[in-house]
Amino acid sequence: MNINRHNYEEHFVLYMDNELSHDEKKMVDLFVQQNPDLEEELTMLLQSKLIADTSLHFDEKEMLLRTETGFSPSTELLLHYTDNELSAEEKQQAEQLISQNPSVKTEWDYLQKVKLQPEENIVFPDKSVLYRKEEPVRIIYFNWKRIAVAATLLLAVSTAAFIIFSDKKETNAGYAAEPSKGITPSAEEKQQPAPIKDENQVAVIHTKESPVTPKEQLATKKETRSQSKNTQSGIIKENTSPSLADTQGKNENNLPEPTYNANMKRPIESTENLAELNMPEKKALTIPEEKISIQPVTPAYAHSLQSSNELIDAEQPEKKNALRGLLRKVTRTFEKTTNIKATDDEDRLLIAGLSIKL
Amino acid sequence: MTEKDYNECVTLYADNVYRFILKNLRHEEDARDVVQTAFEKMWRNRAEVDASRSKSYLFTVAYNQMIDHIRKVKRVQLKEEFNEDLRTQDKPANNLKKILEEALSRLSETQRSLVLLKDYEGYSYDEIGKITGLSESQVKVYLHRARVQLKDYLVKMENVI
Repeated sequence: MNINRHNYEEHFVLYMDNELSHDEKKMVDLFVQQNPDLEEELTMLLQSKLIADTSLHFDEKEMLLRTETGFSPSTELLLHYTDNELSAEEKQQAEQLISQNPSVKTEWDYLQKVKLQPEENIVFPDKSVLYRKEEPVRIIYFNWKRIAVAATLLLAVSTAAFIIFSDKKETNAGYAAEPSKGITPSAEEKQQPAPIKDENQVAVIHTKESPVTPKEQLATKKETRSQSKNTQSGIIKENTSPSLADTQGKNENNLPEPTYNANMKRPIESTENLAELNMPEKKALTIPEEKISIQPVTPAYAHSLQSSNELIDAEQPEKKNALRGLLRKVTRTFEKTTNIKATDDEDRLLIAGLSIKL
Repeated sequence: MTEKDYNECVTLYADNVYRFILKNLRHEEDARDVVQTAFEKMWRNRAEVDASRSKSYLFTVAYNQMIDHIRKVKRVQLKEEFNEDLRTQDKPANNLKKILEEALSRLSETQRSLVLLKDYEGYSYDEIGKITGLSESQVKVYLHRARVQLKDYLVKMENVI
């Protein structure tokens, strides 16, 4: 579009607003040279253009800024200062900001007002319920010396026990092999013929048992056989098997009924002839004496010297005393070395009851 | 920690923990129970507790215990607490201490705990984070928001008066 005296105003305004292209600007300049009377008009128009006052500044630009927490940097600074999380340099910066900026100062004052102060008057009512005391734990520390003593003690006791128990086995074996000392009369009787004394006794028994008929004796013999299979020891037989003599005596003679004696009840031995059949009755007469003599109770020991079990009964207390003596000696050594009392008030050795904390 | 350390801890910090819990719960009996439970736990775990960190440990245990307690109570008394809040809103407090109490009660328990731990005990953001299980930046943001909330409430109440 060409410029002329009818449309020059529009071109002058566009020129002032810097909205013309370079060629259009040159065209306007050429038109003003050709029409000098319009030059003054353009100059006045250009002078009316406003120029920015760079001397003006926004003083509270800081307040408009925002940090990532959503607060302005100044507020953030004040909050950190309130929380006592600033370095010395930052504190100085904050104090400067507070002193220079009244709005910051007001905000600071409010923040100080809402800062809580510990209320010292609030105390826990009864602290005694909170105090605790540890229960004392007694710990015994073992040193090598004590462990060595304990090991020696253990070895000594086990060796002594081994020797004693192996000796006992041997004694029992010898005792069983020697018939003259035997406590099992049935075995003895089977091996040896009955002595004359026994024969007399048998005779007495025979007279007692005279009412027994051969048929009854045969029946009893069968019964006794079955019983003898189930019994191992002569003593047990004596205690448990019923006596033929007793049974028949009760039923078939007029003699006064004997008082009950378990030892009198004897089984009939499983023998083939009648004489042997009556042997248990002989044992029934002799057994009570033997039973008294072999009882292991200590008071009976003195009486048993007369019996055939004299030797066996005499050996047991000696071994007991030897073991006790050994244990006493070991205990005394242990107590002296470790200063630990191993026996109780009744002088009994305490073997268990030891606890070890790991 | 030894028996001696534990008992020293009772002497030195029982009041502080009690204060912290009481200000949060606003109920003496409950606060006492929480403190006792916290000390009980510390006694049971004393073998694992470092004596130099006993105060932090105590506050951590007490804080967790308190949060558990608040959750339990909230489940039971949610409606009642809501009404109480409404009632207090109708009665503006007339002095700074009361205004602050009121403003504090309007914060969430987490925010309140952060303010109390900071103002009462002077813990750092990092330590508060360890006690409450929050990150350091979370502590900072929550705490600053709480402070601004308290300040705004105070400004608002002063304008009303």
